[in-house]
Amino acid sequence: MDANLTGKSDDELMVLFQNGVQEAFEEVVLRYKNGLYQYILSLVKDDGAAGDLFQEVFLALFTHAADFRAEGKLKSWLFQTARNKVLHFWRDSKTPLSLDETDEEGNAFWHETLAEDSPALLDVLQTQELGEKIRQAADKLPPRQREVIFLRQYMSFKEMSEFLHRPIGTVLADCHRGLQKMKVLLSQGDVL
Amino acid sequence: MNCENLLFYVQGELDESALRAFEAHLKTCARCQKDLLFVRRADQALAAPAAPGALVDKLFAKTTRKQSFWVRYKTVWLGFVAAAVVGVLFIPHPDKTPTLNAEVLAYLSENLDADYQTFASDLAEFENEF
Repeated sequence: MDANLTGKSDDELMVLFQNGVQEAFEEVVLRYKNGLYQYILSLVKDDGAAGDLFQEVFLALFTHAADFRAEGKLKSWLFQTARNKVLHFWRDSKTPLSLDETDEEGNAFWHETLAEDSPALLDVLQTQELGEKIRQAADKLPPRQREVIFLRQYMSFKEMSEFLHRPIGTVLADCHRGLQKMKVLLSQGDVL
Repeated sequence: MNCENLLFYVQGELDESALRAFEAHLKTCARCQKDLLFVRRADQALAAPAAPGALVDKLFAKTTRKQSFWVRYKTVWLGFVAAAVVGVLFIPHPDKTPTLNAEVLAYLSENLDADYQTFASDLAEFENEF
């Protein structure tokens, strides 16, 4: 991979690709492959389906690259396309998924409703299996909270607000509730 | 109110004044300190693992590294051509193949002998007349 491409912005890469530089498209794929794959996988929870949808997103970009306008929104486009494809995937499946579901009443500050910070929980934080337990706890979240928890790895709250078409306060509250629930799950040992 | 800024702080979305205010708050709020620890541990655990390499290779094979139909099946075409050459050169032609079938050879020899004798007899008769 051309080292010069790694320092280029998303828009610059897309312009290069529109002008025939195939490596520019590959750089875009390499730049977003991990985050996009994880985001899709977090929502569909199936490696095969995630792989198919992952390819569909980038194939769509490849096919419609000529129509892409360099406005600094490639990341948003990729994740939005992925989200749409996930929604279509679930719509066609037997167990429909709603990304608006939530089972939380919500509180202003997430730590006010957390399980007590017992030594047991802090001990859990020291174990080597913590990473796996955290991932399992995140997987148990309702889709709406799970989506925000994972999107937070790649987007600011402002970006998430625009991406999800929700007020920033709502996104923040969803994230709070998600993290709160994860702590409860971990403290109760409700993850395998 | 500063506790609410914990996630903005982690995301790096606080402006300078809010950042200073929260950092000052963090020094005195034990709950925020523990919550911050948890959020950072969660971020480490949830960091995106690498997408499967085979998946990316497959994507590239369909896009930037897609081969033309002829190039992709070059081996197959070459195989067909080679098979055709071998067929022309080495598959036995019924008219030219020397048969090793003893029975057939003997049969032909019998006919040939019979035909030869007939010919020899006719020739002798012809010579006698002339």
